[in-house]
Amino acid sequence: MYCGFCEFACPTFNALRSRSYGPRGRVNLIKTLIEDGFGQGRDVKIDAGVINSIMTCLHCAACDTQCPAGIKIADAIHSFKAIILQAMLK
Amino acid sequence: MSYLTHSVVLINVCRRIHVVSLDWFRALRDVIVGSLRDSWLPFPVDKSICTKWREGLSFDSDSGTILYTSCLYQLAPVIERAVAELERFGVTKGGALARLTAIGARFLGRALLRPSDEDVDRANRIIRNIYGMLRALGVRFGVLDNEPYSGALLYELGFVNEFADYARSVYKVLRDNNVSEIITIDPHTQYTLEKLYPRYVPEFNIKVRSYLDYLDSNKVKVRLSEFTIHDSCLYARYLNKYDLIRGLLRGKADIKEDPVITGRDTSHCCGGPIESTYPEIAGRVASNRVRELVRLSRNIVTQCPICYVNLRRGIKLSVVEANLFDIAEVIEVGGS
Ligand code: SF4
Repeated sequence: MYCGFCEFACPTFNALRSRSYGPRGRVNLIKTLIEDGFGQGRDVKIDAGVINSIMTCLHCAACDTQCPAGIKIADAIHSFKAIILQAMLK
Repeated sequence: MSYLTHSVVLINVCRRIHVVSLDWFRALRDVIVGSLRDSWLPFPVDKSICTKWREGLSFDSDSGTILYTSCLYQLAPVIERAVAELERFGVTKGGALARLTAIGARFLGRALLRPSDEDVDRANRIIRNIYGMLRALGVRFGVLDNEPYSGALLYELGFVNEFADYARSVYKVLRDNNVSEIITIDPHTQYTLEKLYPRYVPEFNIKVRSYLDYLDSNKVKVRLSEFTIHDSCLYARYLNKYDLIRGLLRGKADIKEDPVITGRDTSHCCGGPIESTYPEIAGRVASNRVRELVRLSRNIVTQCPICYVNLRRGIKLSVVEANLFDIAEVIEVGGS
């Protein structure tokens, strides 16, 4: 989760030149949110910036092809999108 | 500074240009779910646009196989138009403009949307060419009188529960019409039916194939002499169609490829999946993609109506000269 090989392939990272809009940034945000208990009944506040980072993923899976650890990045982000929407649009 | 805080700071730097509020997701969900319930289509469009291509054509009504458009070629320009309108009013942005979300939802939810005549004609030509190629190859199929949309957009936006409910109702329509095999014509519908329906509708047992799978490369002719290919991410990386598509085209035209720009693993997306939620970022992604592709050729062949409308926007935004085609506009089967 730290090598960043995935970033060169990511269209939103390339368009915005911000780590938060690349696969590594998104996966690490998700990891932190899960560790904080988001979506597991704990009251974790997330601001619009975090939401935008996750919700702008295209699920194009270009990052998946670059990940040496074989992480299914696009799927993980999509699943977390659904968790955000479920948790925040009740 | 924790990673989360650090990231938020980074994002906040950019917030000025592309913050979106979850209110917009809520409004969009309500419009789509309501419209699907009322008309089986994700937006309140004039339904005749979905079936106009059938005029004067014959079908095998006794066949268990159907040609299924999911109305996506016809709807893609409608989505493009609606998003352009909403972006103009700033309804996809949050903050002080959040109240406009309600106006946007009313606009999308009430107005009867219609693509331009030119776009309708183009969609019809594409579908009729697909019909003609399949018929020329002897494939027998019918169509559904009242064809429902697949629900792909709900899933792609992240509304998984709403998608699962809707998928079950579509499956019921298919089962009630004795459908045993579906021929799709775009990657979103193919992915949704082939990969997602079996996951969310456990009893789903219908065979799903793309029209591209039926084409015999020995019989396919290519009408365009030189072009590059913009792959659909779904076809290339989720549905294993990358080689199939090249097999239909290679050796019949001067195809400009590059290991990275048009590579299976590395080709960039058109921005389509976020066009209705983050149109500004989608536009930047599309512009970047167009600029990459025109380095190879001014003629760009797509395989998906969503890619087509997004790259069309990318061409406008990046002010480059390029000609866009759908693959079904540049291929034919002898005599189709
Ligand atoms: S799936 Fe998302 S994170 Fe991965 S390359 Fe595509 S846009 Fe970037």
